[in-house]
Amino acid sequence: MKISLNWLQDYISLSESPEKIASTLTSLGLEVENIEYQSAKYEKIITGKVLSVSDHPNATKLKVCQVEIGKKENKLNIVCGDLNVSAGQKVVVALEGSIIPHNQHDPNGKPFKLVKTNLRGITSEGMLCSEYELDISENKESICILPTDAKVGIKFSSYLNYNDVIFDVALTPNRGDCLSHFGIARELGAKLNKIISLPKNSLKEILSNKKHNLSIELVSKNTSLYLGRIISGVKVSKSPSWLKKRLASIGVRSINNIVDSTNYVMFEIGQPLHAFDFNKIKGKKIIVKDSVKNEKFKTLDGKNHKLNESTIMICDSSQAIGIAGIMGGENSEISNETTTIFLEAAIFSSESIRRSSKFLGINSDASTRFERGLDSSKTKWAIDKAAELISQIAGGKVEEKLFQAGSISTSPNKITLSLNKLFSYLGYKLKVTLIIKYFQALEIKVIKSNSKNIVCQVPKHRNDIIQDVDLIEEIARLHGYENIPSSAKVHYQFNKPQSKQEIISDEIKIYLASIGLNEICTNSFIKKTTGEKLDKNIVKLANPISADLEILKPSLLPTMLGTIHFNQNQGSTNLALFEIGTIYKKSNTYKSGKNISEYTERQQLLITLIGKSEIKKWFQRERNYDLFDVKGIIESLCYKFLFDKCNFISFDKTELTLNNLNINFNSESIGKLGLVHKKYLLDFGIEEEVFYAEIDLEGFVKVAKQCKKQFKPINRFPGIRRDIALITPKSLLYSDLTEIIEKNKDEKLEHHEIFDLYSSKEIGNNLKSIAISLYYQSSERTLTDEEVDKSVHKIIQKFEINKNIIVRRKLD
Amino acid sequence: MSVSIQILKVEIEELKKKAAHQIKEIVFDNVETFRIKFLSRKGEIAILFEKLKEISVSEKPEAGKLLNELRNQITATFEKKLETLNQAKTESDNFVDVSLPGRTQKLGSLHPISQTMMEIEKIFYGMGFNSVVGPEIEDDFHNFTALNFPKNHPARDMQDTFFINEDILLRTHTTSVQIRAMELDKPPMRIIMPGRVYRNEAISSRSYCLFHQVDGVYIDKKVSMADLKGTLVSFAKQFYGSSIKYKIRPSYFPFTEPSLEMDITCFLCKGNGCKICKHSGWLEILGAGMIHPNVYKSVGINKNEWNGFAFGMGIERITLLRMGIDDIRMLYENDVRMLQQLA
Repeated sequence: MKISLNWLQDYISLSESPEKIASTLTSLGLEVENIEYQSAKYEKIITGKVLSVSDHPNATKLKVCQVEIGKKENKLNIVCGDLNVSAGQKVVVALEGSIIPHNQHDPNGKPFKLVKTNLRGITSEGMLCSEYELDISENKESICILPTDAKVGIKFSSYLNYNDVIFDVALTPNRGDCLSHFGIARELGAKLNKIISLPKNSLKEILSNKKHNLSIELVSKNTSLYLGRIISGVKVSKSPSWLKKRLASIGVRSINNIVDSTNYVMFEIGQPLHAFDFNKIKGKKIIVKDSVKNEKFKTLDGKNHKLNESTIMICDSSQAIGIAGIMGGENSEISNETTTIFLEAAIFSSESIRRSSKFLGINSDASTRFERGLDSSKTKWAIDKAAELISQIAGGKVEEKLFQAGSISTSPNKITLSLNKLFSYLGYKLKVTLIIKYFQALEIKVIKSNSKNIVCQVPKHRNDIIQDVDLIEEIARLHGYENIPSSAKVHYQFNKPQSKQEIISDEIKIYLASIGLNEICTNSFIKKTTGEKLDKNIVKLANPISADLEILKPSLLPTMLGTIHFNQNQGSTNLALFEIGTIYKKSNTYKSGKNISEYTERQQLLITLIGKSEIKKWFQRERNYDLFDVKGIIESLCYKFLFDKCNFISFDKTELTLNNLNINFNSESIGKLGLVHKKYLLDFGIEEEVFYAEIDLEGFVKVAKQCKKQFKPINRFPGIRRDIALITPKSLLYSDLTEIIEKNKDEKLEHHEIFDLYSSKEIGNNLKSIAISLYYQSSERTLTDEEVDKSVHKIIQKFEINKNIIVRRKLD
Repeated sequence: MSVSIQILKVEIEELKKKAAHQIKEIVFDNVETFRIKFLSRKGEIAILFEKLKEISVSEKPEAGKLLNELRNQITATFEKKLETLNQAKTESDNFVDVSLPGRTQKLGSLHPISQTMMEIEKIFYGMGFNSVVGPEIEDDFHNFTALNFPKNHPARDMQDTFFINEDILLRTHTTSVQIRAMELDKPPMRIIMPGRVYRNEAISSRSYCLFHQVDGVYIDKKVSMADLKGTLVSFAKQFYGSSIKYKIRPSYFPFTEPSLEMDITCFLCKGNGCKICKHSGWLEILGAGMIHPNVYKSVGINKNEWNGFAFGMGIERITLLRMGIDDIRMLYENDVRMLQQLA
């Protein structure tokens, strides 16, 4: 909300600097986001006088002017597009380097910086501005002509007497009482210890006894007070310049003298007002009632609306003429022909106005104020002030009768504040006299006070003060948050242990990053069709931002693939990525979806590898990622966090993946890995192979909780290694061989491992050579070659029995 | 036929000179040529020894001595040379071009959001806070009503909400986890609640449809605003550096009263004013306050027995500012070049 410093001076005398005022407001919780100095607005824009005008030699739609700016000898050559420009006119000249508030050629009228330009062969040393360019009116057609007595060569801001300072205040929604200049002045007064005053109404002296009749009927329960006044004989026209200027200073466009008056009073005191054309009110009756569902209504901006039920409507005897607190109707709008107006000031329920404003999608200055709650003690003041102002600037007589329906609620809020609680909250003590002084500054009446309690009565305008803690904030605010001591005497008790999942999740991230993977963080939302291919139980948003972001992802894969594609487009083709994120599904118990237990959220880890694992370097050859890279990462991860081997069990290819392996640990499935199906990759524009591993983090953590780091004594006796080489069909699995070893080994075999694998013509088509090393070791003694040979022989015999396996040679 | 010792002496001197000259010329490849020429059985020294036969008996001992000296001297010089050559050869064989680039490891990285998150968590763990997580798909009660956001209250406008249906939404803040924690556990409690939250806002360089937050709660007996301030200042100094200046000012959140926001001196311009801090010299880093009595009421905690504070901060904003990224969308694009830069 914009607040004018000049305007504030009507209610409080401020000699402080704008910066001081801004920091005072911020320290009160009314954060000033920006200070605008009006004098800076028309930098390098000055008044001038046209000395002579000649035709442009190369353009019929341009004129060339000699313009005086200040001293006689200081003349500028300016090319002008307004053909009516003539010698002797006083004009507004923008000099090179000035910022023109509006660009006439820009559809949004954005500001631009003026540079010296050559217009069809003639250099223009400046620009004659239109009122639109100067942000004064909508007139783009002609240049701005100043009165003949205008002084030449002075800053345009000085000519306009632009000396105001505008504060942009970010108001929190609890402070409806500050949505006006008077409200802001009241806060400043409290903090700076100054007297504030609201100008007296002198309406009584001008009241006329002419009588138009009207009756008001209050049907809606959502309206507590409805006041009306009739002003007859008005002439609707432009507002006087002081009023235009005030409204313009806070960014409000001038409409006409009637509407401007009601707006002025609203920005002054915070009470929205509405003026109806009295002659358009049928039956001379105002009925305030709630709408029925699907009722239609055309607002004064020409838009048609379909209403929901219980929107408060202002109606005459035959139809609705305004949506209460939000916008008037076209059918009762003030026009240039209006001579008699009916002025309304009312208290509508905040909740109801907010509901309607949300439903209709209309957010007006009035609805904002109603939503935040009004000060009903100022409603009469506001209508009288507006009536007085209208009669002053639009002529007309304010009729004597104040129409009223409903009443001001009179149950002031009394709160007892315990000093003990106050001090315990604040963490410091204050003298009771000071507390009372603060309350008085805030117009909070102290009814009773003793050494333990203070009983207060909250003023009408502070509907945000409800409980004792609200009073505590008022004290803290006025005393200054900067005066709160920083004690940190936090009485730290010992803690419960951190949750295992949180710890492991972070540790996995750190581990994967340390072995060269890049962590990514992706959106939770994906396209519906993408998600449906992954899971049937997708969770859909009722109000997505766009169709591409319509559902919550049931897997991390889609956004991962999106990231891969993005990076490939950026030229990064070798990628090792991972993400730990949430996946969302409807649960098995899903019924109506009205309870969060009908949804599941699980933490997942997804790893993908694409492109080259090693690129050609002076010390290494190039190599592409393959399944065993991703499998190896999972094996390492299990060693690192579960302290043992995991098992892999292959399963058939699916629509989405192939070369699939289930990852098991202690016969619990914790995830899967494989190759993403080409068909699915094409949806994302990826042509390269993508290897993936997916771990269910909760499953992983569950297993991890059962695993313990346990020291096994280091074997000090030397071991013996024996290598065997086998030739087998290519289709024979390595696991088939290790199974034979496992079945026929004795306790001396410490471990075994494949160390070579190749196929060649010499070996034969469809065959491969596998070399396995066997490590023998005893924890009790040094083994002899003979006993090891015996053990190896036993295994070799078993291989030899198998007709698929040829034992090629025994290596020592 | 006798050779006079005088002649032999001359020949010895000549050979000495010749050998001395040639030994200088020896390189590794012609070592053998020298040896054959001078030191082999048919070499030039051996030829001079042949002449010993023709020396008179009386002069023989002297001549023999001279010849032996010659042979020893040349052999010694040769061996010394050989040693030098061998050493040079070893050195050249073992030469390492230390200017070659090293075998670097692949540069893995934690996402900038994780980095910030972990750093914040670490600080609060150190202050005795525990980490608690809760669901992102939430109900109205936990996200709004229990946090003292009345239905149809403008405070709800501060947070544009994504809905699944009328009753279920995506949490707009991790403060919802505060309610879940207070339902499950009884005070005293000191927890932080990190997580992902959602706001239905158009995606732009300044805002995204989701972001991450860390909320915190401390409930005990007699917790004051001074304790809150102490905790926040301690955090800010650990996270942003002990030299930062801060200010706290009143603000409004439905679930706290009194409420405050904390600003610190802009760490980009050191408080002198720049584009990032809108020329104010200050950056807003978090919101906080004393937990509102209505919040205790909604979870059945006795507000007269317990009180405490709550705070919350956005992770993305902090991350962007600290790392100098000017577009929030870059955090979700995951350009690996950026990720590796910020590893």
